[in-house]
Amino acid sequence: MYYGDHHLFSYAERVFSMRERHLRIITALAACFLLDLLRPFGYSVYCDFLYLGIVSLYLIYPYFPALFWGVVFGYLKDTCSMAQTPVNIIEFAFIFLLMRYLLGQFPENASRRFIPAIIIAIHLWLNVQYLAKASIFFDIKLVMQYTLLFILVNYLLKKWMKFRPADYI
Amino acid sequence: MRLQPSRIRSKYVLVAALSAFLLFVPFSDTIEHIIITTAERFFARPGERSALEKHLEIENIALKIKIKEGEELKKENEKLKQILKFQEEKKTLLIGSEVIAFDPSSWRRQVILNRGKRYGVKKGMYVIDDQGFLIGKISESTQNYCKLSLLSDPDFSMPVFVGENALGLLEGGLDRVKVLYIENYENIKNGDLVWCKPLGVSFVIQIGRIKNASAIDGGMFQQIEVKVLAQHPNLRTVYILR
Repeated sequence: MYYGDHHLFSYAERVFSMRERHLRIITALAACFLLDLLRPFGYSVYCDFLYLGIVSLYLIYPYFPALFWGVVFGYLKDTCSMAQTPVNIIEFAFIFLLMRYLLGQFPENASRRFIPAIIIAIHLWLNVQYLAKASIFFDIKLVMQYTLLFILVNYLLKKWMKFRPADYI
Repeated sequence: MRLQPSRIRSKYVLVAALSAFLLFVPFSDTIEHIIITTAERFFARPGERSALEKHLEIENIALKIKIKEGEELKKENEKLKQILKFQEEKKTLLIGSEVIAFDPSSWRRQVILNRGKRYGVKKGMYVIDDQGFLIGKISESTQNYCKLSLLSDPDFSMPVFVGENALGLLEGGLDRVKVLYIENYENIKNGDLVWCKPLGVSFVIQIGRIKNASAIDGGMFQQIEVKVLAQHPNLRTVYILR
């Protein structure tokens, strides 16, 4: 059955927009990954840019394609770390499920502030307790850097993904 | 009062600008230079400068670049001389290596070097900087690459001597490096040298100086913090001890 040109045109537009969105996701995450790998700021910046990018991506685009790209970049990170266990793949997949659940439970706009805060707090707490073995002053510095950089990454990613500011805070 | 979306947006822009500012504080000189150059260009009237001035300006820039190149070459030459002298004095062989990437996890302090088993790099080999100070040891080696664990890596540990001959265990950490298991009766003072002498190496490798040493009440061991001597804000070239 012929539905007319209008139908075909809208389908093509949808495909293009989806492709563009995926390209934008890949570019943003690749930029974050490169920042982690090359460390242009040396060890003065403690943050995982890829982690912040992934949390930000899940926040503004909480759908399964985002999980796919999260897992792909988690795999890349694990490979470059020469890690024995795929910690990042598990972490990024777990974050996605947790964020999706929380966003479903608290759909109002205000929840978009505290959900990433909870996710980042869990990440910091686990890493500082079991990996970093660091002091309280280090923790404060870490929280400040993570908070400020998350706001920055989230703002830039929203702009890059062309989400309207009124939709997401 | 409920904030309008535009106000919320401006608030976030402000926070983002502030964080960007905090990030770029170490590059304040460069930013200042950019601002001054832009302002000069903005306020300069077109047609004011003659062709000769423009020519001189271009020549000036070219000369500045050449001077910079010369300075870089001089620095590199000095470093190489220093390392050659170090090799001759200590009668040891070094494998020069370049840093090609950092571990993407910010919870680790590991770097990937462009030398591997093909050049004789093995796990456990010690790595020094151009001053001869220890910066870490090889934790993994593949055919073409190896992984260097820095002293500040949380998983780093090695036996060290403090002062005369007090033996302890150096433990890495993201914010501080510590020496463990030095008993309270050992006379450790601030400024004492922390060093090691690995098997197969004929000289002492300096690691750091004691920053803070204190005895814990009721404990057996002292709490010792170390200031690492190797400073590497921009780690590029390292030397592996054979």
